[in-house]
Amino acid sequence: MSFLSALYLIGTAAIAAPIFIHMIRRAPRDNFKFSTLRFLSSSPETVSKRSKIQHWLLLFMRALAIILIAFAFARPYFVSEEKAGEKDKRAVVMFLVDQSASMNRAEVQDKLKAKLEERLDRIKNSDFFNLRTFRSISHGLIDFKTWAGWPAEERKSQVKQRIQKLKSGWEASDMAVSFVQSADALDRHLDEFGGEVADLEIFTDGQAGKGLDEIRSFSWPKRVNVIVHNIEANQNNASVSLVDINAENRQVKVKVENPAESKEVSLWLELQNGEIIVDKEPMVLEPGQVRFHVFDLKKLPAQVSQFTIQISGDSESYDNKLYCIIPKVKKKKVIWLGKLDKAQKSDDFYFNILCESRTDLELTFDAKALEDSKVKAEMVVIDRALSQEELAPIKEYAQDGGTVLFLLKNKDLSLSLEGVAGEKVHVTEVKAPDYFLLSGLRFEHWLFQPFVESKFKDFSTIYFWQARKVVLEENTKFQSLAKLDDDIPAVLSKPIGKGELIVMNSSWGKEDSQLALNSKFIPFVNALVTASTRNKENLLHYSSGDPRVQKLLGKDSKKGNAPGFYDFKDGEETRQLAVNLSPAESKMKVLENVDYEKVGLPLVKQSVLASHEKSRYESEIAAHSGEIKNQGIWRYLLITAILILLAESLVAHKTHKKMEQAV
Amino acid sequence: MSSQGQNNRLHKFIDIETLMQLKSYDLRAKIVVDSYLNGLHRSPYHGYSSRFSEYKPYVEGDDLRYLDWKLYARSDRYYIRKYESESNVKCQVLLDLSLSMEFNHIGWSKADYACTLAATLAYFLYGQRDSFGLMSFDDDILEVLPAKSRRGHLNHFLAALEKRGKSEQSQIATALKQSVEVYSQRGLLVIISDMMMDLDQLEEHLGYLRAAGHEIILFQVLDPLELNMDLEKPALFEDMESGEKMFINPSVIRDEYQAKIKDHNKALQAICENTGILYQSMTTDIPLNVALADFLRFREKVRK
Repeated sequence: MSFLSALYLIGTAAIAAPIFIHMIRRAPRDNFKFSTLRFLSSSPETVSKRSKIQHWLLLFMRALAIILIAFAFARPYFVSEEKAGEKDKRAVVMFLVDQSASMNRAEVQDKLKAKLEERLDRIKNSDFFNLRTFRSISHGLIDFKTWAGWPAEERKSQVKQRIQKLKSGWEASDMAVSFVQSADALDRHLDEFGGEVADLEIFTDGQAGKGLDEIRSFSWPKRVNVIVHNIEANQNNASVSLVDINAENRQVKVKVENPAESKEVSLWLELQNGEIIVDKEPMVLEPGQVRFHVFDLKKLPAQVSQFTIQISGDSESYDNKLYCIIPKVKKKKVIWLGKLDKAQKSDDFYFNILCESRTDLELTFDAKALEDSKVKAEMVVIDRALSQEELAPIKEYAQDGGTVLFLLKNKDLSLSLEGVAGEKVHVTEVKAPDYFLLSGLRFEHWLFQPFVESKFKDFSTIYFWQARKVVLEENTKFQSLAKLDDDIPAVLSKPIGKGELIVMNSSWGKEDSQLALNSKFIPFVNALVTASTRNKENLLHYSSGDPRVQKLLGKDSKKGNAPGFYDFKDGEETRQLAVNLSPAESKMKVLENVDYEKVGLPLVKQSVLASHEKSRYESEIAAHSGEIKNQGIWRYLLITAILILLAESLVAHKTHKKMEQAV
Repeated sequence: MSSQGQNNRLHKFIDIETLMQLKSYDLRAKIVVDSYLNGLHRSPYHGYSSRFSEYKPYVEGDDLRYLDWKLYARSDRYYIRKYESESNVKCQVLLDLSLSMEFNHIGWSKADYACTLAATLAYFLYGQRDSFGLMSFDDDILEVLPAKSRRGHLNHFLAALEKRGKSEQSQIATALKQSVEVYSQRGLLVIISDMMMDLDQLEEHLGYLRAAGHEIILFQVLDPLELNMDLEKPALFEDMESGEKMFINPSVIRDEYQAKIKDHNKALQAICENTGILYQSMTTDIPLNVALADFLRFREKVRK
C-alpha cells in the first residue's frame, strides 16, 4: 500500500487531543472568574458520575474517527508494476529570469544558466512552458505558443539554446512590476489551458532593486504559485555614486558605500581623465560604512568637461565606474522690454540693483535678444507698450515654456496685454484713499511657494498706493493669485502653451507700492526667475534604463542603457550626457523567503519543493493511470469516520442525559 | 475597482484581534487614528488656533474676536486673522480601571480595550493640537493628569494607562465628585467604564458636571459574554472584585441574566438621556475606528 500524501498520516497524532480531554475532564468542576455576580443568581450544583466503560468507548470512537480521517487524507492506493501511461497532467510553468545590472557579477550568469537547465530538465515536453526575463519590466523570450509550435522532442533543446544566449542588462530591476506582469499573464493563460495551478519559477540573485512593496497593492492570483531560485553571487562589492558637482568651484562630491555583507575594507578611489589617473585616494571602509569624498576638479585640464571616478580593491567591477559631466556655468538671463530709468526708482531700477548684486542673474534691455534663438531667457518682463512685431516672438517664447511678467503700469498698456494674453481685458486706474493691503494669496501657486510657511505668510506690512483694475471676460482663463482691498486683483496668471503669463496690476516700483523695499521682494523675484527652468529637463546624469535617455539619443539608438558618455543633438548643438548604474543595483542585501511572503507571494519553499514535485508526480500517476487499483479507498474511510462520529454523538448525548438525570 | 481601492477600504477597519496583539498603546492608537484619517482630506475650513494662515478683510458677520487689533492700530483696517487648524478642545478622559474591567473572555480585557480607546482619543486630540487629560479610578482616584497638548504629555498619558486598580469595587461617584472640583473650566469629558455598578447617585453626579458646562460622552465597554452569557458549561463563578463565589449553570440562568443586564443598561441610557449625555455602548470586539467616529460626531454636535 502507498500513500499519495503520506504527510497527512502525521494527523493520527491528533488522537492525543481526545485522550488529553478525557483526562482533564476528571477535574471536579470549572472555576470561572466573572466581572460581577451582580446580575447572576446561583443554580443548584450538579453532581457528575461517570462510568469508566462509557468514557473508554467514547475515547475509542473519537480516536478511531481521527485515525480514519488522517488515513483518508493520506490517500492510500495500490500500485501495480506497470508504469503510468502517457496521459500525464500537463503543468503550466513560467521561468522568469532576472537580467538586471547586479546579474553582471562574476560567475552569476554561468550559475544561472546551469540552474535554468537543471530546472528545465524537470519540465515535461507535454507541459505548457514560457520563458521571460526581467529588468525594469519583464520581456517574453519564449511564449507558450512558440513552445507548443516546436516538435515535442526539440522543445527543450531550443530553450537551452536561448538560455545560452542570455545576457544581463544594465537597468535596475523592478521586481514588483515584473512579478505582477508575469503572474497576470500566467493567470490569464491558465484559463486558456484549463489548468488548475501554475508555477512561476523566478531565477534571481535576490538583489532587491526597487523592492517588492508595490506587490502589496496587487491581489496575487491564487492559482499562481511562486518558486524562487536564488543564484548565489559575490557580496564583496563597494559602490560609488554621485552626490553633487559644483561647476563654479570645480569640485565633485561622491558617496562611497561598502555594504554590510562585504568582507573587503581597503579600497582606492581614483579620479580619471579618460585612462589617465589624475588623483587617487586610499580608503578603509568597514562593512556597512558610507563615506563622502570631495575631489578637486581643478586638477583636470581646464577644457575637460567629463571625467570618471573609479573604485578599485573590491571583487566586483560592474558598478565601479562613475561617469560625470561638469555642467557649464550659465547665467540666468532676463530680458526687460522697457527702459532703465535709475532716476525714477521704478521697477526696473530695483530689479537692476538685484541683478547687479547676483552673479547668476543677467539683465538685458535689448529687445532684439528675444528674437535671437541663442539667447535663452529665463524670463521676459514687459513694462511698456508693445508693437505688433514684438508680440509674435513673445508669444512664441511663452508657448515654448517661458515666463512672461507683464507689469501693468498704466491703463494704456491694455492693448499690449490683450495681444500677449489673447483675450479682451478692460483696465481702469484705481488709487487708494491711503493705501491697499494684499490678501487672498494663493500659496499653492509656484510664485508664492517661498512664502508657504506660516511665519512668512504675513503680507500686511506691504502698502500699495495704486493699481490697475482689470475686468476680464466671463470665460477667462486668468486666475487671481492675490488681491488688494475691494477685491481688486493684484496678481493674475494665465497659462500660455507650456509657459505662463503673470500680470502684476500694481508692481514693486515706488509709484505703485513699497514691495521692492520689503524683505519679501528677493524671494518673490527669485521665484519668478527660476520658474521657467522648474520643469525643463536639462539633466546631465541619468540612470541606466531611464526612458528619457532613449528619447534624447533618438528612437533607433539601443545603446543608452550601458553606463558611459553619450552625445546627442540639442537643436544644432551637440551635447553630452552621462549614464550610470542605478545605486539600487549596488546594494548587496539578498531577499529572503520571508521578504517575499511579507508582500503576499504564495511561496513554495525549496525545502518542500522536492517533495511537492514528487507528490505531484505520484499524484499524477495515481489520478490518471488506469492501472492503479482501489481509487476510492479514501472515500470509504471518510464515510466510515462520519458514521463513527454520528455514533459517537449519540453515545455522548446519552451519556450527558444520564449525567443530568443523576443530578 | 482597483486593488489599491480595495486596500484603502480594508484599512478603514483595522482587525481588532491583530490590533490588540500589539503591546504598545502608542502604536495601537497610531494605527487606529491613521487608518481612520487615511483618505480624509485636510479641512478646507479655517479655524482659530496657532498656525497663521492669512489675513482676510473683515466683512459683516465675521467674529469680532478674531479681528487683528494690532493691524487695525497700525493700518486703520479691519482684518481677520485666519488659521490653519481648528479650535482647542479641552478633553478629560475618566477611565474606569477597577478589577471588573480586567474581565477577559475574547483574548483581551475590557481594561485593555478601554485603555486603547483612551490612547486613541488622546493621540487623535494630540494630532489636532487639542489638550487632553486623564483621571483613572477604581473606587478611588488612581491617576490624575491635567489637560495639556504637548508631545511629552502624550507620553505621560500613555504611561499612566499602565497603572491598574486593585480595589474590590468600582465606584464612579468618587471620580465624578472629584471631576466637579478639579475641572472648573468647561470642557469635554469622556467616561470609559463598564458601568457594572449601582446607578443610584449617578444621575446626580453627572447632573453636577453638566451644570458646570461640561459636555459628556459615556462609552460603556462590555465583553460580548457579559451581554449574552453565551457559556455552555456550569461552573463556579467568582466575582473578580469581591472574590465571592457562586455555582452557576449558564443555560439555566441565561434568560434571566440577559433581562437583568438589559434593564441595567436601559436605566443607564435613561440617565444619560435625562442629563444630556451621549451614551455609547460598545463590546470589546468592535473596531476602535467606530468609537473614534462616534467621538468625532459628538464633538461636531457640541461645536454646533
